[in-house]
Amino acid sequence: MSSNPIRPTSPAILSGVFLVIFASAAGVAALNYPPGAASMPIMIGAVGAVLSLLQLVVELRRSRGAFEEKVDLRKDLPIYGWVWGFVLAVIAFGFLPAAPLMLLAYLRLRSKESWKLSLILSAAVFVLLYGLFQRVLGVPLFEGLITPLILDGLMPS
Amino acid sequence: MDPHVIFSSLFDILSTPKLIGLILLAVPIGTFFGCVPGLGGKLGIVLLIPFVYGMDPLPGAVFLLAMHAIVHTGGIVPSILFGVPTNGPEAPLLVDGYPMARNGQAGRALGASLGAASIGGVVGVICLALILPVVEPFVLAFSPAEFFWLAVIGITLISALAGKMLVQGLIVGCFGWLIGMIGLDSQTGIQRFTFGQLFLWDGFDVISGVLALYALPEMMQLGRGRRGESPEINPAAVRYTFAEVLDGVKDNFRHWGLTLTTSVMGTFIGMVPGLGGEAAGWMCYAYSVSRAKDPERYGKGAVEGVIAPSTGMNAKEGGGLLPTLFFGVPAGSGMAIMLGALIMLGIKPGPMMVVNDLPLVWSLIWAIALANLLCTFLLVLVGRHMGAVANIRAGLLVPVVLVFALLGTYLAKDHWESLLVLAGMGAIGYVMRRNNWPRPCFIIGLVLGPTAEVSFHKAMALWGPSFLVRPTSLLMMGLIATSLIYNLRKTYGPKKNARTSARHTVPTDASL
Repeated sequence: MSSNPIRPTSPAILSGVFLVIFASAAGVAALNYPPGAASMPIMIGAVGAVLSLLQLVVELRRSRGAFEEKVDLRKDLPIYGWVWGFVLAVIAFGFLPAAPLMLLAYLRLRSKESWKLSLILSAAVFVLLYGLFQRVLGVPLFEGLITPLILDGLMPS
Repeated sequence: MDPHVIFSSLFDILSTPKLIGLILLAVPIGTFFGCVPGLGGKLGIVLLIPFVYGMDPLPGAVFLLAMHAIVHTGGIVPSILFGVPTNGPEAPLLVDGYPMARNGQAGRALGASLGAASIGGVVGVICLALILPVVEPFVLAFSPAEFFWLAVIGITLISALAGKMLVQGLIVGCFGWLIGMIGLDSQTGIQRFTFGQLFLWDGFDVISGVLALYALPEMMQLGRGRRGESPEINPAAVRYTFAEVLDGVKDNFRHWGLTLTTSVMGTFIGMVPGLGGEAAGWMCYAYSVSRAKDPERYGKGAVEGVIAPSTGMNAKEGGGLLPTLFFGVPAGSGMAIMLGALIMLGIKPGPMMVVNDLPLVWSLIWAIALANLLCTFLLVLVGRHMGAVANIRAGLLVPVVLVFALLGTYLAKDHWESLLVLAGMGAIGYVMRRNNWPRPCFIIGLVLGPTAEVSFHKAMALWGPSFLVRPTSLLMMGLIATSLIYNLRKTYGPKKNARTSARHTVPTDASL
């Protein structure tokens, strides 16, 4: 076990800094509100900022040996990238085309599942989204920001 | 209390194919969420939100509550047969249930636990029926001052949920409360922290918060490796006969005093904010040990050690409904999420439910009881095959759950921008998850913070600062101080014996 000081860029420190800034900014921003709307944000923001600062100091004083680095960016960034991939694909193209296609991509590229299983699962999710949600339950699924533009281009009214 | 209301609600459920069908559907789904490591009841509620979107309040609430009520029953099977507690509350079953399975008594342990869970669920409902007439006048007499203090009592729940990480729990609670302030302020009508974004005017909903802080971190945790790790399953553990299971069910009647007492205990524990969750199982287990003539049998496969936590953890579900529905103060983090889901369905928890919505309340109570009975029946039949479910590869689970998490977030507010917030906050939730920060405190802050603020302003408008010295306020301040001291002493005080310290080796709900 090493006794090196913890890196200032470690995720624990960065998230501590984020929480200090977040709580302080919320408290400061609330100063512009009328008293009735400002009292709670200022109070809770101040308490949150002081506690986050206290926690940050405790983390910085710990040695890396005592504090095991719990976030491994080499392992965590790829899966977080996939999360953003799903989110951006759905925002761009909507649930119906994006969700089954991203599912297929994940199953093939990340999970290394067989083509057969990947296609069956993706088709099942498509049937669930389109058949159950859109048709049977009448749930309005997001169409995406780009898909309507493409459809308008293909089928001009 | 009109018995006609009580039994007509039951008759309505049984005679309405849609409602009984939804309960029948909720049972396998809840069992699935209970027995797959990494899912659990809280995720179950938020991931099922898309399915109840647009439903009438009664069927939607019946479906979600029935699913949530039996999640712990679903977790019994992997806990006893494979030694894998999928969620915190089932952990006490490992102490005696898993040794029984290893000693060749898997069927008996499973029967005892499932029978106890079923009895606990039903006794919890009966207790609630007996308590409601007593509680009714109190509920109607509550003013904004009492609601403010009730919300504060709920917030002190953080001290129980956070355990040794009290500072982190308070930080996460403040974070949730600040996020809960986003939107139009009900007092002044001005926008707070909306940055001019239309999608933030309605505020930040509980569903998106839970998905960001629970669903995404859990899925990222499961999906870190190329393929998820699966528990080792001992094939001998799943070899048992139906007669052995029946023998286990009979154990509940052989120890009827313990079964009834722990059921009643579980109901009352479920009603107290801060004592819900896994506390019910552990406290009932501790009671069982304390009344035993030969406590040395415990930990080696005592059937009483299986019965006590099973009754407690299911009876608390009925008890937890009381503060959640009538006061809008959830008894635990699971009920906090349920509260958000009920509000989304159009149900308004609060004292007026006693006057206007008693049939709905009774339908929900009956739904819990029916789901418990059906789940026990299902698991007695198919328990031995649950290994396949508990063993689902993370590589398959992660992307499917991700799709439903995105769908739930979008449908909660109908704004695509919520998806960006979900992904952004998911990173914060993941760092908290990896460092074992108590994430349930975020939900408590998010749900109860705004309630406390609104009630505070109303009480100030009615009485001014003098509301702080009203007799009920002083009584509730006393309760808050007692609960804080109790929780802090429980966490930081000296350990009484080895058994007490042993329980801390098991993952806790707060660490999940």
